Amino acid sequence: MAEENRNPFEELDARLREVPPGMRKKVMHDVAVAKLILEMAYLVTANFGSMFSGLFRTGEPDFTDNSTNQTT
Amino acid sequence: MTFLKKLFLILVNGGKPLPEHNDPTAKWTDEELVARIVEKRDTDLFGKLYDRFVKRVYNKCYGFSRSEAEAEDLTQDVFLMLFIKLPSFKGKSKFSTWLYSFTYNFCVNYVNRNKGRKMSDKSVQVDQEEYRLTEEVPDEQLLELKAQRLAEAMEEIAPEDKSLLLLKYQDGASIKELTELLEIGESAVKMRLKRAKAKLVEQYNTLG
Repeated sequence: MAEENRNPFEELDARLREVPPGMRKKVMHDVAVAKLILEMAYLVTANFGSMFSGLFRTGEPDFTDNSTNQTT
Repeated sequence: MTFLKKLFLILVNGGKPLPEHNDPTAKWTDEELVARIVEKRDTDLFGKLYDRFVKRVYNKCYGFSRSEAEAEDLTQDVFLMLFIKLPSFKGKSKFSTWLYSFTYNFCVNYVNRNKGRKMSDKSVQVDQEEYRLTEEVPDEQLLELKAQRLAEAMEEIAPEDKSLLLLKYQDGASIKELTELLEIGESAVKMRLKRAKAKLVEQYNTLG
């Protein structure tokens, strides 16, 4: 019965190697730096977004008419 | 448990992390843990996820690189990219399956880049091989293979085929999960599996 259930692919994974001990520290350091960069990037892009939307939102109905006249 | 109480217990414990029975995250499923990490980009919780999966991921990387130093570098890169890409996990498959697929993708790209070849370079033209593809290799036949020779045969086939076979037969991914992970249809998944199995058995027989 046990022979019927054997899976040679799982046997390939039977003896797992030990992870190098210092790797956790390196990974967590990389992750902390990545988090900082992601958050900085978020701040910068978020500010640019609001800045641009503020720049183009005038609320003056005549503005479009003037620009049309200028181009023609 | 409040933050101060937790801090006190850590200090009393000599700076070591809390034992498992005091750690509420130990009860969380992988998917719950991922959801909480994504919510606040929590690096401490990401450390818990790392602890759960690092051994399997490291060994999978080792299976593709065959050197401890390369496997270490690959594992570090996998976890760094995982932290960035974690929000793209939508829960359509088990998290472990998604992570192993993510790891294989990384390894396949690494192997192909390292050998200075594209994905298709080593593969044989389909029209030349078409006659072999008519023969379906049944799963029962695949499961009768000897592990040692299977390991050698797996080294010889294309890394894309290797990763697909590992996902299906080692990590237990279903056809449905494979369609989600590979973003292809069910018939395409079945065809890729059929080809990969045929190539593996052919390689296995040449080693015998």
